[in-house]
Amino acid sequence: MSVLAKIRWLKPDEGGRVEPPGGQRYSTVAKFQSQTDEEWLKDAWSLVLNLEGTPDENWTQTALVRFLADEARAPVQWLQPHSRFALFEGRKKVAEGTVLEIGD
Amino acid sequence: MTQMSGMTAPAQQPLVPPTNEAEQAGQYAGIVLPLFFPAGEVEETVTLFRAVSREEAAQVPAEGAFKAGENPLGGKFFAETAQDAAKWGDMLQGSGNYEVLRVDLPKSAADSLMRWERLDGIGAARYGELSQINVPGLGVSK
Repeated sequence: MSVLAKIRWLKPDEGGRVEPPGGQRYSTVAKFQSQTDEEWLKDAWSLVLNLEGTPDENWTQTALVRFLADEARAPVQWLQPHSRFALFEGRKKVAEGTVLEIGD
Repeated sequence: MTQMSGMTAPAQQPLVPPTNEAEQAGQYAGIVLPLFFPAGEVEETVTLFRAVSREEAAQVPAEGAFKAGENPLGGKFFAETAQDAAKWGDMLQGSGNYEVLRVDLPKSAADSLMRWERLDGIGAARYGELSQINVPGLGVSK
């Protein structure tokens, strides 16, 4: 399953990174729309992003997204069109993502 | 999206009787050991584990500090057992392409790391920025 998502990197004045990540591959912990804070701290999942192009002036770009864990174990139902997630580096929220479409 | 709020304090890992080499290393997870400083102060340490590339496995023990890696994160993830670190190594590096480092951190530093009870369906994990990890008293071994 391939998942195309829009990723907006938070800027430093929003508490985000100094700059968007360089390179094509990026992986970190995600928090999904359906998770409460408590649920997230008990059972979190990592996403792997294959970033497409470079971020625009709003630090937004698209990425192909998948769970780090294999699909048999990961909650793939959380990645549906229009569903949202946030990416974290530890306690720091670094990006917001929205699923655009699901492919094969 | 729900706003993030307070974090839980790290919990100690229960000991499990080791049955193989990885579990023998894993038995140290969460063990608190005294760390002696020259001034005579003593700080406890917490043992964590991290699956790393061959390159990082050579660099970190030699230099005594972690560096930013290929994944452009500001920090590093750690497992609380060697077995769990190996599972992440299998997923991230591929079987046989990594080594598991044992990392002894002063308890105050370990307690400051972000902790999830379970990550990726594997087990407890912690994340720390380099400034939280590369502290006096950091011990790294293979």
